[in-house]
Amino acid sequence: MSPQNILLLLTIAEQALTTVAAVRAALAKASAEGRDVTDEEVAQVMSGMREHADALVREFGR
Amino acid sequence: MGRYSKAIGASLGGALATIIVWLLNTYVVAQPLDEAVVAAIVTVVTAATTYWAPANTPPAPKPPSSTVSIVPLLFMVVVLTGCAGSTLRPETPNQRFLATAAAIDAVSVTVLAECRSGTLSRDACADAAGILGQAAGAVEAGWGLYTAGSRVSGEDQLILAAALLAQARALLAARLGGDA
Repeated sequence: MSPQNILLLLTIAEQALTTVAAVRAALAKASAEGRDVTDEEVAQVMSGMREHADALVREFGR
Repeated sequence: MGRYSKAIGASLGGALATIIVWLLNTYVVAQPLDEAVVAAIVTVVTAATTYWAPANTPPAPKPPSSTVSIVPLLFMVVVLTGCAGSTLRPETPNQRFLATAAAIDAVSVTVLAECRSGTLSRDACADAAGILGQAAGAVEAGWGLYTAGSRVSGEDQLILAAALLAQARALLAARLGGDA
């Protein structure tokens, strides 16, 4: 595996840990408040996902 | 000019020397210049223009090789989704949708940054864009069905997963030169 691949994997792994921590925090907050994750919270994450996926497709898609 | 600056300078010097000799022969001297004088003029003018011409510049460096394949990206998509799905142990549909969307978003953000920095090849970025765009669309569609009151069956999820895997397999096979 080339250094580029290793660097890419480390970068994505770092991003994954950050994401997991953020999701855990969101779930913990909802749990502490005795409720489920709200539709609005899910929609907000969906919106971010769509925004970045769109940017990827727009800039680099075929 | 660039990498051939000195050669271009010498050519210009030769042309300039030819013009100078022609002007001298036409307007200045009565008899055509001796060959030795012409040679001296050409030599001096050519050497001078070559000397004063900008230095040759090395060829522009090639952009960093973009040999990173799509394989680790696909691998990480699976790992991230599995990580979010198993480590967090989401118990409700909302939690599952949140975790899945966050995982896809994390991959999209990272891939986008890598593509913009030029680490990934254009082809790899295009492949990743196709897969992540479809994955995002699939999650959104599932969320839309769920919030509309429709139940996303396990069979629907399997069909969706099979479609995504088939696309990933086709892309990988194309990259490896095999049959999709």
